[in-house]
Amino acid sequence: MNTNMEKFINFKQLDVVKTGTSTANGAGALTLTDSAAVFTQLVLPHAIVWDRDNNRKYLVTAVTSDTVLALESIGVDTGTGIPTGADYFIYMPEYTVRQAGTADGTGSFQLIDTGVDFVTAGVKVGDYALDITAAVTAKVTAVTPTILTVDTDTFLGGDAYLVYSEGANDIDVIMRSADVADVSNAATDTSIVNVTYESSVSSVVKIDYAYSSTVGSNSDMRGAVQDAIVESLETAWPNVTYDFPGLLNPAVAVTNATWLGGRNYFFLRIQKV
Amino acid sequence: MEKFLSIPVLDGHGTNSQNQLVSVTGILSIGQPTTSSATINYIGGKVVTLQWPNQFPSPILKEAIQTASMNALKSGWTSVSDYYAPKGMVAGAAVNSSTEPNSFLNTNPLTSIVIA
Repeated sequence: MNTNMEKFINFKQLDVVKTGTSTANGAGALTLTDSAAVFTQLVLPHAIVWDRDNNRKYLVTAVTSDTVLALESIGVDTGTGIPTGADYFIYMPEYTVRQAGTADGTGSFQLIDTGVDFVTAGVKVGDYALDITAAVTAKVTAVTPTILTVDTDTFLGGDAYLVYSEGANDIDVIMRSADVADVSNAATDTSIVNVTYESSVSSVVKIDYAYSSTVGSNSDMRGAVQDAIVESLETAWPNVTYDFPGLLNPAVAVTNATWLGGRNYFFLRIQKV
Repeated sequence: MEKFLSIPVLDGHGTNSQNQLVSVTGILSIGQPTTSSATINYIGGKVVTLQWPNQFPSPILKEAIQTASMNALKSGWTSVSDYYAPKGMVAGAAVNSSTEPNSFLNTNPLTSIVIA
């Protein structure tokens, strides 16, 4: 009997925190406007915005208002802003939002919201509480279901707030690494890698990612995925999954110095097409 | 090596659940297209859709199936079928059926398992 081992690569893929459609033309202005959004309670600077229609990626440089984000283009496929009617996804690569809302009480060094459960929401000591109304950020020092104790006395009843923790809002996504026939960059976009499998029907997994390099037509990610496939297949049973180790092989200079503390790539979507 | 998840799913009467086998061999990827369903995509093109009676925001169902599938594949080769209790299901307990009829029924097993 000759059978293949079942092997998979485990990717950390950013989770989508907001989807929507642009309602005003931000092209040329490096902005995203969505009149139906409340960005202040979802998004923080350095979030990634993916213009799905035009396949352009941006970093949020400022949350200008509830409905407007200021953007900076990233990667090689440079955009100038999100045009009207474009569908977008937003990801949080640095922070994970735990809870947002409006304080309904006032206490010394406290954030009070009796309508939520901070414990269930996963808020922990050391997380950050942003007083959106006062534009002040405090650190959480104690957690109860409806009251957070913070190290800065800023929250008043009626203040909008956002509680978040450090670390990317990401999820584990597995991709088969056995039976791979080909790994290629997409023909028209350098931030897509297609993994094609040996199969009688078309089986392709598409990897969409954001990459800080502004050098066009580079194959860094393709090489990294290939390396991970080989490493995965070389692991011994019962190691079924192999964690993607990162981009260890950049062949080009990473020129976008403003990216997220040196992290130069993020996976945005990995799925069968 | 052939491996399966054995998953409780409602039968045609809509009351009792029986376990149905779902292969974890040849998986290409796993997705969660809706808040109440997860899909297992196989390398040969087949897709199994698991339908839950309740809603769970993505990626809860996707990660649950990923975890169950990978655990099944890690098990020894004589463990061909691994029981998987779907997220949200409460297993029935076999007690005195004359005094507690239906006590053996699972609560919230999968609604359906469909392959296409």
